[in-house]
Amino acid sequence: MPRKELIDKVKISDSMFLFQPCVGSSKYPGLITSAIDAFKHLDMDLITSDDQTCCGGFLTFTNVAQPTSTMPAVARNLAIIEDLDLDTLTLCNGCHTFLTEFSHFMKDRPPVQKVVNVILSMIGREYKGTHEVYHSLEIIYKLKEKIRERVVRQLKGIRFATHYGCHYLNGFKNTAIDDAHMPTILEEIIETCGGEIADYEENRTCCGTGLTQVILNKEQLSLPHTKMKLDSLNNTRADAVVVVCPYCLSHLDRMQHKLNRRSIGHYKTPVMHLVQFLGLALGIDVNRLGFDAHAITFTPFTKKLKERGILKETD
Amino acid sequence: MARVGVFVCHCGINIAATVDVQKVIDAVLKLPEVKHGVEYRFMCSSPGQALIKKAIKDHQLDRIVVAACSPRMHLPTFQNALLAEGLNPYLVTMANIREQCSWVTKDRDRATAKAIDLVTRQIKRVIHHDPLDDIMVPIIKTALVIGGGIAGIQAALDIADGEQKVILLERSPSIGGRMAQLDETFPTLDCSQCILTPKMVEAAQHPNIEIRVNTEVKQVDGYVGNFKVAVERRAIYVDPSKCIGCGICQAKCPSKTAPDEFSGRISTRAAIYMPFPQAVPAIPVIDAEHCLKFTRGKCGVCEKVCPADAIDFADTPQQEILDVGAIVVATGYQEMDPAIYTEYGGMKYPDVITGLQFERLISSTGPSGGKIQRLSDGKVPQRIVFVQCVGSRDESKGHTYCSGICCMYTAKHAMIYKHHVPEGKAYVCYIDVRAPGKSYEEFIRRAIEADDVRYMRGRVAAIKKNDDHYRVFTEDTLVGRPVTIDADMIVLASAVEPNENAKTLARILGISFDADGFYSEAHPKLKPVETATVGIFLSGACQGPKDIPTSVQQGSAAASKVLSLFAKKVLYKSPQIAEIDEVSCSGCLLCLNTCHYGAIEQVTTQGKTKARAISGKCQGCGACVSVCKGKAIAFPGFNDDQLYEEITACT
Amino acid sequence: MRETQLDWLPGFDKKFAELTHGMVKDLEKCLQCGKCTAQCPAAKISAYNPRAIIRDLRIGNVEKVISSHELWLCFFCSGCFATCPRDINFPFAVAMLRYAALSHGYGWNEVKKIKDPYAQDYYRTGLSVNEKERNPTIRRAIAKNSGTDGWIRTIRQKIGLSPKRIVSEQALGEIRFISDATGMTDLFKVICKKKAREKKWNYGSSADFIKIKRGPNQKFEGIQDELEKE
Repeated sequence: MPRKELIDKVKISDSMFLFQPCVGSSKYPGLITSAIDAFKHLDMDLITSDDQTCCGGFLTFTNVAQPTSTMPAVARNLAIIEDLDLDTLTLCNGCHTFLTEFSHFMKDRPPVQKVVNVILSMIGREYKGTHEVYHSLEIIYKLKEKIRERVVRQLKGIRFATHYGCHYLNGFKNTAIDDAHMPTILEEIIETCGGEIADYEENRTCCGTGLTQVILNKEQLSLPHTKMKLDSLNNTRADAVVVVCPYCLSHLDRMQHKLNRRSIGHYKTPVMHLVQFLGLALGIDVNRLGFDAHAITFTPFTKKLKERGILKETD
Repeated sequence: MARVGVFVCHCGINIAATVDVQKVIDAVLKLPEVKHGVEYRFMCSSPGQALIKKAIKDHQLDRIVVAACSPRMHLPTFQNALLAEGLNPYLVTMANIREQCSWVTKDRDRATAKAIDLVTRQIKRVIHHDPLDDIMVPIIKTALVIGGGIAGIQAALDIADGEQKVILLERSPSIGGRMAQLDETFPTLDCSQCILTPKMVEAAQHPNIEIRVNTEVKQVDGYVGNFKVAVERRAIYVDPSKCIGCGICQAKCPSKTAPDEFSGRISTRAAIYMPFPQAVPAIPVIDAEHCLKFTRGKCGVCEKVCPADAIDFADTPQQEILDVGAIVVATGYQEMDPAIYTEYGGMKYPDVITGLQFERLISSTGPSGGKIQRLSDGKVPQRIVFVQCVGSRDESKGHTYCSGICCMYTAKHAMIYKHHVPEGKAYVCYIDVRAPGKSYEEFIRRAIEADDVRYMRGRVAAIKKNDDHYRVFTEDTLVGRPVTIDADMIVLASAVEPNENAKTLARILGISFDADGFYSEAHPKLKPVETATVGIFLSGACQGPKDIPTSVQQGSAAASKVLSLFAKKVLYKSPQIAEIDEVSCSGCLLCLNTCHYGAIEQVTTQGKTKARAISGKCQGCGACVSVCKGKAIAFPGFNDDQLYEEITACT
Repeated sequence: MRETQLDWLPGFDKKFAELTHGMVKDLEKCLQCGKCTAQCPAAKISAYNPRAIIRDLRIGNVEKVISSHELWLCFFCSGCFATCPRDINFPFAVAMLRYAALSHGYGWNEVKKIKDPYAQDYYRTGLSVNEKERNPTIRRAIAKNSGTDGWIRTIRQKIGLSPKRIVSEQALGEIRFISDATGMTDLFKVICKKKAREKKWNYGSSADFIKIKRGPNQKFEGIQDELEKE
């Protein structure tokens, strides 16, 4: 159940800074092109910068780098974006959490912000805390009615399962724009574009990456957990899964592939990011969606769309 | 010249350990007005008071200063001592050398110096005290009980048995309250309706009780002994003087889709209805929102079939002013709607129900005739999980407090389920089990030992729906392992919370409520049924979550307060209230706008606007005195002479 | 060995509040209700138990927590925080406890596995994850799906982006400066060299893990509780 007062506070601008996520841009580059093209169709320019680096969240919460190091790094990224006078659009639950939490931490504690700015001053930058960070899910939900008007490919009869991931809804239990246990915003966006929702019991279950568990305890923790989720997903005959985080995307995509290789089950549900879904619905060039980079093939999906005339044969 | 007696109390070591009481006496004895001065260990004790009385006699004292604790503690005690010796009680004053002196410092010299200072000021002040007489206020010997639940019924019965008149007000169509919705009650498992209905009938037949249902309080004016309560009876479209309670209208009514509030909305009722078969009075009402005659202009079947010609579609709301001397607030509670607990399904799953809804399911007059069955498909549930603390003990989404009754009623529910379905499985997921009352602990043990109810310590984190049954995710914290329980019905013990409009009513009455919305008693330990507003009493769950025995106790307690109030011929009110001199009054009405109690009214005297104090309402706060530019307001006991003497005494 | 008061560090939870910069300042509010563990994905399939960890922190048995294997099993999903009726920010506590464990010698092997390649890549390229796909089976899958050689740089070019993500020299200079100045670079060196202490299974055992078996038609087995079997 979306929280109206918080949605009202989301600010839409003509241009926003696209914070490129590491996993997103390096493994699933379709996220970047889909986002840029899709938002163009919604009258919003997404600006990127070669000065923007990794948000640093992964390194911090895996204890490889201390917050004393990564907070200046975050502040540096945010300072660059501030200098462009733009609000930030994130595509990743992790980036979003890290940028938001640390920026609030600094804003609430002026002495900390001061110390961070001392370090930044040595590289000629300053973090003022003047702009906001929004998740693509928030911006897209706020633009729902505009999207409804501009849908080019009505996805009627196509079943989508949703996966919100953990950090946006759980980590921001009181300030996210929807409820952590029974959210509906992603479903609403999908239905706005004509899609059908495929419900499954493990909808709100973590994807299973577990931040480090996929690297450190894959066999013991990550894989059994993800298999449980994927089995539940298989029961619902979804044509695709829509996620809002590239780490979830990578995990759900690649673990299906891994389980298939081990002959443990047969998993073939392709996984896409919300911005790819949006791009698809708003009629951008299908090649720009970047489905090529996914391990679980989109061929049956695109075939179904072509059969129903949603995609042209030439797309 | 006045003859002042000074008494300095040791208060054990509370004062004497820090203040050198002998020094204080020695210092004040030097003042010319002081004719007698002693120190004593405990002035509030009988010998202490005897000292005062004896000194008044022996030394012909006419003013007394007692240097001791706060006047809030014992000023009345010493006033009585003066009265006993025939002196006006307003000729004694107290110097607070404890809370404001010995309790705020350990420095003996500074404390003693301050004590001497404080006592001297009181001596200089008290000389200017005049004898004052209490104001006499008549008492209307009719009580108003707001709320027809068990607490209200008990209060009404006790007041009525005390030969005083009671008006019992209830906003729903019948008295009975929450108890009427219950099946069996803990810890005895006796049938709730069976023990309640005799009391309801007694109240209906008692010559001193006037029951008014479908009525709400709209405005309250006045003060203790003399309240004017504006009430409104909703339009019910049935004439109570003609209706014989046969129930044909309810049976024939074609509109059957209104959600039934009495059953917690798990079933529907007709648009013309009695909330339950044993309703008192047994007069149905029409719910205009669901009545086809009102919504579509068609129907009128009830009018046609009524043998007593009691239907009156032209009925309108009726207002009335009641004159009463005391008010007992017994408005009870409501069950929280757990829809915000989205982790439990947000009340969208058909077989996840609340405690009250389960009560109606097991109740023989309920929607399933007492058969425990799933709301989704009517099957008898084989595994029920009872979830405790839904909305209680939850700072994040619900209420921080404990609702007090759920541990007991959940054990009861589980036991009744096991009695109905012996081969079924009942699990209770709890954090703590609170069973403080008489036979309560034994009741819980009976559930566990005799009826095989399985208790698991751990708060349920999530309930997921899996086709037609559910999975409950909890942890057995006593073993330290997460557990998943399959269930086909789940009962949420939802929190007890104040009624939706409790705050509105509080503002109308002028009583206060706490952060959770429950009405505030005058003192948490020693005055549980009084409010800070004299003449308005509390009883039952509106003051805080409680079980039936405690509600009945509070009903009787409130009744005893009312009866002792009514036993007086006349009420005495403190004379230390504002008096406005109309001659000096300029009519600026600043005082009227400052007064929080509505105790100043605008009058026209000889064509000029003036302010007049309503003595009955004035609480003696003094705000008006401070804003009056023309110094037209006098305040006996706090007039300028007294205050200036007190301030300037030692400067 | 039975736990005694000698195992309990006095006033730990107050110190912990300071250590976490006030982000976890209310462990005393924990009701031990168990909602966190009840929904925890890691607790379902291992001996990890957030409620038990808070119990140990409250009583001061810090050694048990930081020397345990279980501390390193948290998924960081924040489900515990989302469901906690007292809003205790437990994921943050885990991150801080892991730092505490590291400073006592536990957990360096875990951190080593993250440092290479992620932290190194960050220092080298400004990104924690690079487009070079190290897993040949994934590359083959991508190749098959896309009709290309399967390298991400090819896909990036195909959709109109530069082959690698560009991070400017200026940016690299800046983040390296920050890393050097704030001790991150030195920490990397320490991580390489540090020898980890042996952790213990303090809340359960390694047998609490589930084994996923290879091969066709293998049924998934998870932890079942006795009650469910009734």
